[in-house]
Amino acid sequence: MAPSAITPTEEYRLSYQDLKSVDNILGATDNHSAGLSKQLIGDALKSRVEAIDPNTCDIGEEDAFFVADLGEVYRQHLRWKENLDRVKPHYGK
Amino acid sequence: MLRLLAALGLGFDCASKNEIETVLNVGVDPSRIIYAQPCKTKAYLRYASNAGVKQMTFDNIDELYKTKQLAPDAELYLRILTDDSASLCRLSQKFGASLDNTAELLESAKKLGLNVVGVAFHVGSGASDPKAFVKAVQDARFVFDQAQALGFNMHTLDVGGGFTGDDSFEPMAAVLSASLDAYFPPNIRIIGEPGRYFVSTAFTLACHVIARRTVTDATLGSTSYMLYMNDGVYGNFSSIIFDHQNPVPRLLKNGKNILYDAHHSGYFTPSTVEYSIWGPTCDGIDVISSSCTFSEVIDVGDWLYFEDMGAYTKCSATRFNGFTDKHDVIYISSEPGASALLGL
Repeated sequence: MAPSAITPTEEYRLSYQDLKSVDNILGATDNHSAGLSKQLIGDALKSRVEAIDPNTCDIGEEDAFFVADLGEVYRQHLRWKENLDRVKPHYGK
Repeated sequence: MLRLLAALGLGFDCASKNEIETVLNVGVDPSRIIYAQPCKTKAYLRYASNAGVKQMTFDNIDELYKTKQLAPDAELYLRILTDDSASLCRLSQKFGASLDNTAELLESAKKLGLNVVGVAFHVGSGASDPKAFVKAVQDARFVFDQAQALGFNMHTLDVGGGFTGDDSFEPMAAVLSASLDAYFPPNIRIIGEPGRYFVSTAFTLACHVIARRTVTDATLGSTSYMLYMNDGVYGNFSSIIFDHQNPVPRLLKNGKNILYDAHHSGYFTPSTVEYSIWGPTCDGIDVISSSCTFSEVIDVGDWLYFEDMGAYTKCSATRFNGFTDKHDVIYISSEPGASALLGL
């Protein structure tokens, strides 16, 4: 969509219903996702820290690191749509 | 992360040239960006205007002169003061026009031929009192009416941020929705600026124990430990200073054992060994936990982890004492919907 001085509305093409129906097709459920989230985060943490030996690693290899679950952001988006659909979120820090 | 938010159709609230540039580089159209910083750097304002970012906020007369000079076709939002006394990070002491000044500001904008299209407020980051939203929505209505009386085509209300991702979100959302419906007809577009709401719970931080000091108390006959990690309040624990957080230490790796999600946190009382946890800099303020307990004896080379580390951590980290502020992020997706949107 080209920028426009007149139309104030952005494109928010994915409604709550759209996202829910995608989830139904893909077989996602709330309980399943929460358990899967823990499992995936745990796996990512484990494989990274087990690969690091502080006695032999290069500088920086043993630095702190994050694991981020994009699924959690997605769930929060659905929750927003469900509870505050009139407000179009503009992500800010 | 930004790619996912963009794919979900979100807009973006940016505070600086770098944030605008980052969002544009993800492929977001400038019409989906609001430059929500009422006191802008001139060079940034020029950049935003050239990049096609039109939506921006103001709260004082000098900003109007600046806008007239550098971004005369901006779509302006008048940022008003709110009662933020129940928020973690209070913002109204810094930004926002009081209702005594709004008439004068709107008249000045009219004289300058600027285009005011909306009102913005921000109840403060980490808001805890839904009533703050009610009062702010009422005040915004008052200013909408003032502006409409002057002939401005007012079409958008920006309800700012303050949304937390915890259980208080649903009651907060219900109160805000009801106020919006009571004061603003459906043809008025409503936008918001959530930040921590989306990312806070998504990030887990793992830190390495780089040193340990054993503290023996001869009188009590007890042994406790001071642990020093390779991240602290000058790094990703900047949220302790800037966001009034208390990250909870959990044990990830003890010797050869991985203990993720296996144990209670370091604040679960029946555990036996006492610790204090410190960051790597030489500053005494660099403390993560002054007292916590674990059943295990934690040693150099072990790892701790901290959940809910997505808000005001990495973005406000520094390089004080020469430590890095560039930490790796490993992305996973526990939702097929999110993976599908990103083509993962």
